[in-house]
Amino acid sequence: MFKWAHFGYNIRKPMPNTQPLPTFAPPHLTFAEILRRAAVPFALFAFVLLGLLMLSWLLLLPRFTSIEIKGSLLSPEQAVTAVTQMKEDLKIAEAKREALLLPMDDSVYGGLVRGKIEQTPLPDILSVLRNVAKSTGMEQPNAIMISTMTMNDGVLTISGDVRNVGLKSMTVLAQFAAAVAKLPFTASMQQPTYSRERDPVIGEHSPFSFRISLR
Amino acid sequence: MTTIHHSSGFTALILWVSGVVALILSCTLLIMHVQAVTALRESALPLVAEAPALERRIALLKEQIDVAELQKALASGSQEERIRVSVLPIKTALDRNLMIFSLLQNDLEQRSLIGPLSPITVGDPRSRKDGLTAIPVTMQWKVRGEGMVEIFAFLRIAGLLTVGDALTQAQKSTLISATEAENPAAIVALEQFFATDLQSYGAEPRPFEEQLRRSLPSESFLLTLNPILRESLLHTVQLLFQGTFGQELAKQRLWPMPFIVLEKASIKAGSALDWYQVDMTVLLLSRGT
Repeated sequence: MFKWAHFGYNIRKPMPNTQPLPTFAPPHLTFAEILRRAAVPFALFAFVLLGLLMLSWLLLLPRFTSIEIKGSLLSPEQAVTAVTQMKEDLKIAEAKREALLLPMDDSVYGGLVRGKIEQTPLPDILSVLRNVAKSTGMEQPNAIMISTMTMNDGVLTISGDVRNVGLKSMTVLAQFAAAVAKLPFTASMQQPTYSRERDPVIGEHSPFSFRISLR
Repeated sequence: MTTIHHSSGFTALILWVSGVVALILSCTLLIMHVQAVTALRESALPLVAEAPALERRIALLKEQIDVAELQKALASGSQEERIRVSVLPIKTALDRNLMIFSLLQNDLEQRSLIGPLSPITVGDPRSRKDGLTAIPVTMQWKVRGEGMVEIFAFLRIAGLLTVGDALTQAQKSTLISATEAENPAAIVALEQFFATDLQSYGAEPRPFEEQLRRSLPSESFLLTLNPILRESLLHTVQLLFQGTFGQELAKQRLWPMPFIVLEKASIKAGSALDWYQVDMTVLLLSRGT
């Protein structure tokens, strides 16, 4: 038999323990009975929750997730489609505007003009290469001599030799090649063949010839 | 009593089953809510943030297209016609081309920038992938550095018609963007600038530039325009057409020039300082077969 614990107390005046405490026996419930009694509240809870969520799905969510585009309210999916369509429209409008601004751009003539204008002029390339040669040639500004430069079908061949730097001619050539490979007009570069030759007049020198594919 | 007890047990079972089904449906709906909000946050909202800007830009472009179409309808003497007649004619006018080279040589000779020009060799016409016909012309120049720069500049300009042709794609896009940012209605002025005849611009650039500056007078646009004018091929065009060679071209009615493409070139250091031997093959293009 279960007895309730005595919670009340008074420090000054303890309650005289004369009366017997009230006692009761809880009803004996089986698990099936518990389930039976809980069925209605559970079902009620589940149906109310479902009802509220359905109301939210049908009424609240569309209201809070709809987006205004071009003055009309759209669902997120419709909004994504609308924005994608607007981007396509923009591209078409831009192309049309470009065609009106620069009418010959898409013609054969336009292609020829682009090919000409986008190419770096050969004297400019020669000037850049000379500057690179000057800055690479250690303390000897005339160490790298560019004797010939040939351009054919977008491929540039540079020939010359490295001199006046004694045994370092191949090192200087390697530095020059590395600097040329980094230039903005260089798309790719074929490494030169490294050799050192002795000439009775110019002494130790490294002749070179290498190819650059232009951008 | 037993029946009542059984029936209430059965009802409880039904209530439990339907409650569980309702709970499962609720969970599904809850997941769908979460997915809808996530989708909104991750994909729709960033896109939708772009929408007003896109709307404005489309409206602006439509306005520009309307104005440009009107401008085009009013313009006389199409660029296409000039290309057909002079730049890419049906048949290459060899005499016209040789006259141009002769004028260039004469100008460089008068300024002591060139040695004797080698004989000019004209090859057989050949068809190109783009449907055009090319006649190769080979020549050798012995020139000073300054003369060499002018020869290559002339080859770049030969065949171009308008100011727009002398600008790279990047330079044109920069100017279009700057105009749109400044005053979208001024796109007409930019269009007129791009369509300006290159020879007229080269001979006297100021009126054309001033017209554009009047339409777009802001400091920021000028900061975009001025470097482009200075660093683009337009600067070389001015030097060419303000010189004797350019003036002779206009006088001899050799403008617009035929389209000349540099096929191959070789620059060799000459025997004297700042002298070069330039061997080149250029292609004279025409639409004929």
